[in-house]
Amino acid sequence: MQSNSLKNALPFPLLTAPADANAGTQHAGQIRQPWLVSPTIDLLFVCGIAPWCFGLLTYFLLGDVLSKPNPSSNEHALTICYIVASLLIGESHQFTSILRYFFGPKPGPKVHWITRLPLQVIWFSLAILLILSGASTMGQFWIVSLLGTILGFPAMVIALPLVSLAANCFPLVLMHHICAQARTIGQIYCGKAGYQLSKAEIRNFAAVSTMLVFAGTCNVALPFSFDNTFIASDAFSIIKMLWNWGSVIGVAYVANQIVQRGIKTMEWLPLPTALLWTNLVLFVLLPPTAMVYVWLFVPVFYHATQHWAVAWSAKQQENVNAAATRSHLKQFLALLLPVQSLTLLVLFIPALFMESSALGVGGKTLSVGWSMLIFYIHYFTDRIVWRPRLKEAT
Amino acid sequence: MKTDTTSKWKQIGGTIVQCLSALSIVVALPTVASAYSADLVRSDFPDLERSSASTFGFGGMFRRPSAPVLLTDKNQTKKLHTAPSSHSFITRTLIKTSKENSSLLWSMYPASVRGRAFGATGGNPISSGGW
Repeated sequence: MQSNSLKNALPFPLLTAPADANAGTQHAGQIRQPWLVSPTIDLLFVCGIAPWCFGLLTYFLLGDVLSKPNPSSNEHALTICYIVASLLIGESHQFTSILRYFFGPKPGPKVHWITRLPLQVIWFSLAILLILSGASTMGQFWIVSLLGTILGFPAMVIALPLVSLAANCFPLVLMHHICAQARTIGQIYCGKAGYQLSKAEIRNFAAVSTMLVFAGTCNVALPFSFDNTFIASDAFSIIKMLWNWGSVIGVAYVANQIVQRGIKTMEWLPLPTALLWTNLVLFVLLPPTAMVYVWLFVPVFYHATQHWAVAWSAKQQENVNAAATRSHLKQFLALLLPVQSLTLLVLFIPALFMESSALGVGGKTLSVGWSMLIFYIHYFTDRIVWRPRLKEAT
Repeated sequence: MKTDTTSKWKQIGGTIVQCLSALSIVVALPTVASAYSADLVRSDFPDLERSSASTFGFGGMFRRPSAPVLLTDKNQTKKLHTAPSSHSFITRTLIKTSKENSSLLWSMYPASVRGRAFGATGGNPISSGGW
């Protein structure tokens, strides 16, 4: 019962090692791999030690630029490394799930149609946009007016507010994406270590994670134009304080629950999970002013690298034969190269083209919109693709 | 027989994809990186002035939104103030985000980093039309 609840809660069931006793006997011959990639890589880039190390390093290399803004000779090299890492690791991580959605193993029947609905809405909107822009380019104005009449009104009523909401709330969704992924990977480590989570525990983790999302939104990821638009600063300070204290109480409650369980049963939360979740809480709840240097590296070396590690682990488990015969470098390139090329073709080159083109909308707006669209496709495909093959699920 | 042919084509397809991928990375990334690095020190860091929006309702709890600034607005440059150009991208990012903590996450988000490094556009993407 407990293992079923865990399986249902995870978007990556393929990666969970057998958490119940029966599965343990079924897979008796297999070695349980407690890490996604390796102990060092997992601890640094999945559990969140790397952002602290790189943050401190940047602080020492640049000097305290925030109090004494003097140009430093280290800046240029550091900037180049940072941007290249952002491009190669950060932006491309979105395509690991997008590539898998189109070319990977088909998701099982357990994927509910509602999960796929947001993606279908995205495809439908894109199709309408392409038809309208195509017809407009070719000068077929009667098609534009006909389609405009048929689709224009529902698009105005339904699509525009949705698009506006999606664009404005982008930082909030990003915060949710980061917290949800960290929580899920923590649960994967629990499954790998044979640390069974009860339904109540999973529910508590989800509740605390949701509180962290809102606290993090108030602290570091406010929706665009929100702070200067809707709520005055005094009222907002109270809301922010409530979410922060609510999160602190929630974290303390869950931590106490884990410790009590450890004392009673001598079953302790696995180290990677403990580190991963502790770092998430620290990133979100520590005062942002003190965390600027660390946050510089959180999206790339905490979130994106987690995704790469999960993709690597999934690939390893699916291609057991290839994993045994090929060198690690070859396997890494087989994972990396298709993702990088898709990133270049679908994101970087169109974005550069959009920025340089003299389109009426404003090249920057179009480019930003395209980047956001890619993020939302990644956000929704993420919830679908990391599932077992169809035949394995049945 | 059919399976053999299919797997053979799959192998050939896989090899072609890998070659193209390698080529695209070898050629495109250094080009892009060098293009970006040239702008990193030179470009200024535009920052939209925060307009003082008026408050209303329940003792001034809600704020009335200020008019958005469009890219097509010719006067936009007058509304920008820039950090000293001697600072590179990373320092300007640190200085700016330390003042605006609420934008810490998306400012460090890779798409935002790319947008600001390549496009040299800063500020709120919704109001300024760029990252």
